[in-house]
Amino acid sequence: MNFSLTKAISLKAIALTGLLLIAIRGLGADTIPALRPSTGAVSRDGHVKLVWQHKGSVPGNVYELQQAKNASFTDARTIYKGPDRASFVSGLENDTYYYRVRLNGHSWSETVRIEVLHHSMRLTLTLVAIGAVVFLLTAWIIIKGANQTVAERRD
Amino acid sequence: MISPETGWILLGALSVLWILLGIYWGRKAKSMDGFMLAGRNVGLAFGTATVMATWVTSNTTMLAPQFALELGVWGMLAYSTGAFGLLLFAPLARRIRSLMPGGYTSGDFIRLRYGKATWILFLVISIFYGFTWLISMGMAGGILMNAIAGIPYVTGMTIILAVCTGYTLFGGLYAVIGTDYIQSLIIMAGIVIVGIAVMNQVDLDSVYNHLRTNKPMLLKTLQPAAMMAVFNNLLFGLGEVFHSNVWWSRAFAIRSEVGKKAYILAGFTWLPIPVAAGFIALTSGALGINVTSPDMVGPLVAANVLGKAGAVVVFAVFFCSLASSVDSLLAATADLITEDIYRKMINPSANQRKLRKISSFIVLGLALLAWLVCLPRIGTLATVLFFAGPAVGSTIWPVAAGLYWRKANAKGAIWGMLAGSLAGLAAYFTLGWYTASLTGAAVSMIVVIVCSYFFPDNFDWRRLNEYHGDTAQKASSHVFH
Repeated sequence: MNFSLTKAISLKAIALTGLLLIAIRGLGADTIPALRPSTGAVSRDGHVKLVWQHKGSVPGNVYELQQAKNASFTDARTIYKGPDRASFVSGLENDTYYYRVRLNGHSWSETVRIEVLHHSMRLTLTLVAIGAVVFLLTAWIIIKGANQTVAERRD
Repeated sequence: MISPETGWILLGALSVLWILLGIYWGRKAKSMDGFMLAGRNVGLAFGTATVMATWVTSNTTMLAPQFALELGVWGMLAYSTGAFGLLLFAPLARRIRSLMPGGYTSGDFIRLRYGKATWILFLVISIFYGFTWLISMGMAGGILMNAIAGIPYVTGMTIILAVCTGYTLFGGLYAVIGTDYIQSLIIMAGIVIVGIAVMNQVDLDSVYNHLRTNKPMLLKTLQPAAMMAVFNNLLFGLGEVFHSNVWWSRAFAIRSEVGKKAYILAGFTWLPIPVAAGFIALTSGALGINVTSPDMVGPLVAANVLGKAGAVVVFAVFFCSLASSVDSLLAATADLITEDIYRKMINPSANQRKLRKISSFIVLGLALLAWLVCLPRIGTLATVLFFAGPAVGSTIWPVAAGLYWRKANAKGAIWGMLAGSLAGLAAYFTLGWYTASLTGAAVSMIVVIVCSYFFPDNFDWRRLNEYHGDTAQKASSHVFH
């Protein structure tokens, strides 16, 4: 009798602990935002848009977004603190950047890794040269054509 | 930020004002020439104002700041190269008026110069471009009202499209040009007010130091994407103005002796606006403003720096810059479809009353379609607008060479537009939007030059004057019965 009672209480305790753990885990998950880059993991032009969301968003929530150049965030810098759930970061040099966000000082989200790799200078200068040639030739045919038209009218 | 209530009052007041002015000016549009081309008698002041106001689109007030935020100082300058589109179109406007005194649309020119196949491809490109521009502006309207007054995106976008559709329906190009004149005055006054206020409230040293520490690439001379964007944007602007019926309709509408001057004046008046609009985006970091979407940075910073009173000015300026372009685009695209598709392909014997009715349905249809596409916010303004970049860039040489070179031919024009568009699209997806127009224009130029050399035409310019100079007779046939 005593044994069965103890067994029943033990089973109930295990079940309750399990439920409690699930609840705690669930509550914890609600405070950890899911962070992702909306512009891809590699940036060719030095900018990235980061968006984050979590369940149970309420007015007054304060998110903190950090940026670092190493995965352990030893050189972390807070780049935004406030209620928004996105941030656009631009002007980044060639490097690897790490981002994380947290809600109201709770646990940090998973880290997002962004690699900034600008186009090569060779490709850039080639396209700039092509653009300049197209523009100058276009301007030339218009100015020459307009002058010719004026001369023809005079004749 | 202003409260949604203030936003609604402003929105209502501006909407009523434009619709009433549209009805007032629309009373002049008694013929199709009047409705589509404002009687072909627009003077220098109205001509300059409509060209300038139409070029100060959402693209200037919202995209120029986005350029600065993404690409830095180079991006700001890259956007201002758009002025070359107007400056180089000035001699073309004079040429167009002298070669086609009775012309209606840019499609007319391509059809008469290169034939039907090229004309159809050109119409596809032109209508596609007009539509992406319209979508980018509908989106801009929604974004703006949401950023400044907290009005939901869909509501704001719906209202701006509905108001512009309303007064364009009532008054045609008379209403568009008339409202553009007032809108350009408001835009210029607003930009001066915003510029002075920003300069008074922002410390330039702290802006520079913030950029140097946190966004160093925005100050660098060798910023690859920004360097590419300079000529890409310049050629995109050239392509936009050279091919789009928005600018051709003004070339036909403005009096021939003042057209060139109007385009030059508008180009120089427009030039400093993107620099001023772009600069305020660079201050966002130093001011501690979080930007959630790059195309919102302009209104966000302006409203933040200027407070509630300033936000009212900003709201009015942005509303005017959007309205002046949405109305022009609706009118010009509807003209293109009415003249080039309905009248030339479907019903050549349609009378003027029928044409005007069709034109009104097309304005409504375009607005409705644009509204549907704007509903899901599909991308940023830059990515949406520059998707048309390859096709737009590919039209520069077929138009410019077609106006001055007798040797330019249909083979060069059609293959130039096709090859340019495809190569530009490949660049858009593989390299980025800031290379698409440049690639499209370059490939198209090579094809046009090669074809003009190997298959030279000997075009007779008189063939462009479809009505043999008898514009008076044509105009009289356009009076409603």
